[in-house]
Amino acid sequence: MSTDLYSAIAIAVSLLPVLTLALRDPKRLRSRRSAQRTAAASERRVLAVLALVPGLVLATLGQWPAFLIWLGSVSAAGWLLVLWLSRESGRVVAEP
Amino acid sequence: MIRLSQERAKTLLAIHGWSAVFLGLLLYAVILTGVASVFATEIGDWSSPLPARVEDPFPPGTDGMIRGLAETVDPAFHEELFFFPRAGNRLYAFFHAHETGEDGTPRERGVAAEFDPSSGAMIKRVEGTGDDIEAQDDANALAHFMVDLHVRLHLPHPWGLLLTGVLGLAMLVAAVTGFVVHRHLIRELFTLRRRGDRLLTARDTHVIAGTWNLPFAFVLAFTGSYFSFGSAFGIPAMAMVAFGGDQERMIETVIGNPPATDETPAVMGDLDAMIADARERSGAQVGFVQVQHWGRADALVTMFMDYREGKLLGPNYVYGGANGGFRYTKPSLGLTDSTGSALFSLMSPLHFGNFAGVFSKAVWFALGFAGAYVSITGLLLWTTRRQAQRGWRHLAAATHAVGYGLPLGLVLAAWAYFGGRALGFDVNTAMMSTFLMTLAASCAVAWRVEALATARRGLLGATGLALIALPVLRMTSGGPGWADAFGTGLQTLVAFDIVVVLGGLFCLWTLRRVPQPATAPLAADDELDEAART
Repeated sequence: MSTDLYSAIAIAVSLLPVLTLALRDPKRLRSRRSAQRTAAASERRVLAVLALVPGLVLATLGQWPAFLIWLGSVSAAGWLLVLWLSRESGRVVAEP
Repeated sequence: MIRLSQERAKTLLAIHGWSAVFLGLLLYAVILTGVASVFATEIGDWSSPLPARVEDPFPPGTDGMIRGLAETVDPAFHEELFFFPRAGNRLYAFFHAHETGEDGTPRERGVAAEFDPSSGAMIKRVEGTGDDIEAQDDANALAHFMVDLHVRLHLPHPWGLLLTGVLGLAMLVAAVTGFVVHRHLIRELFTLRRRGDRLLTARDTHVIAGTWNLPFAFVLAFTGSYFSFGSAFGIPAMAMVAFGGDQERMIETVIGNPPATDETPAVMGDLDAMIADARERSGAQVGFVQVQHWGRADALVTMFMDYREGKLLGPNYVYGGANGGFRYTKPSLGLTDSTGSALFSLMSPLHFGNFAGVFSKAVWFALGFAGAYVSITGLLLWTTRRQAQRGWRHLAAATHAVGYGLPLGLVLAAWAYFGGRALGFDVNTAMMSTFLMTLAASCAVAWRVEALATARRGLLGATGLALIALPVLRMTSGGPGWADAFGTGLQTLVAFDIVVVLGGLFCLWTLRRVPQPATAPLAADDELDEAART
């Protein structure tokens, strides 16, 4: 399997729990005064571990280029995800 | 504690604020140009393509090109030869000898030539010192402009490297202190409040980008400082302590490849065969070739290979130059594998992100962009919330001028490159003067307009429009159009044009946002942080 394929699979697998964590994050939902169900602490811990598992697998396999791409992509995607989720309220004020 | 009058305390506070913002803006400039430099190779290929796509910069026949050049070069310059691909996959070769410059620093002097690998034709031949030759390298000038701004802010050696090294350390400090100061990083990993005060939103925006980018801020700052200080301070200091100031001898010893001296003339072995052998051994492409003592019995040829699939370290192979026989696999440092050599070799992929083609470069670009975003949002937050105080209006204006004027300056430098090349001007002078004039104009805009938000919109809008028009300028100044590009296998040119236009559209898209006036511009840091915790 190529580095690109290893990376793509690992990123996809990690982003699912990251997305779930973001959607059910208590602080984010509280700040939006949302009544949606929040994730319990134990649930968040499990999701966090699941998000990290692909990185551990890549490291165990010695796929270091894929590991770095995975780490960087999940970091960048997490940032963009937060920006995207914060836009739901429709009022945009941040600069720049 | 030193007792100060109120007036003197205010003056010192102003100096403190100005110096912090000045360093912060320089750091932003280094990070932003680093983002562009991730794609330096692609910028070179895009700005100066050869008439047709070059699949292999080291094709069979490379030996003939190099051998032909060697016959026309003064044997004094046969001391060392580099050859490697540059803009548009031109094969660049530089026969040179080492000498000491007027300022006491080592430099190279010799003959450089560029070849079109497809035809084997020599495109250009230049003689002089390394700097003279670099100054005449129009094909790579745009990429070099970006990289040099990133590496040393276009300042003379070693001051530019020392400054960027210090800025790298400042980034490390900012990352560590940011980590310590924001105690709820994990808890607030997904929290970005758009409701309420604008400054609270700006604070969240800055913290969120910084938090997600934190691991790479450490990595990029550390490796960047390492590269800056290694060249500017580490090598000269080590040479002074252990080699009586002889940097060449020190590098030869540390690298571990000093050829045994045998000045007997000898016919060089077949470079094509060595390149083919290195490819077969590694399964990777050749990245860079060094030949020591061309045409002598003690000649050595070192092949520096690109990264292999699934690896972060590329192998280096050494061949006997006179017979072309394989000698040994060489670590980056010394002659046997070591942890130090592996760590030394890891610095490059970790900093440049070039270990897995466009995929890893795109990720490094995104992470660099996040770093630039963190630095400029931090500076904007810091200066904007104080702009009602005496002196801080100027700092807020300076932050807007550099924050939004620098990207515009870089894009207009590219305009100057294409325009200057078409009109026959010196492209380096054209780029630098345009860049500086743009920064000056950005300062004028930021200081003249009443509302800084207007300056931001004007500069960002100008950047967007300049980016959108850039591919048109590239084509009208002699670059291939899209039909020609498709016909000659230069599809990457079209892809890069599209990316540039999308960047411009993104700039214009961000203009739809109209910042609301802050309700508490003078809120203290702790008040803001307290608000953030609730």
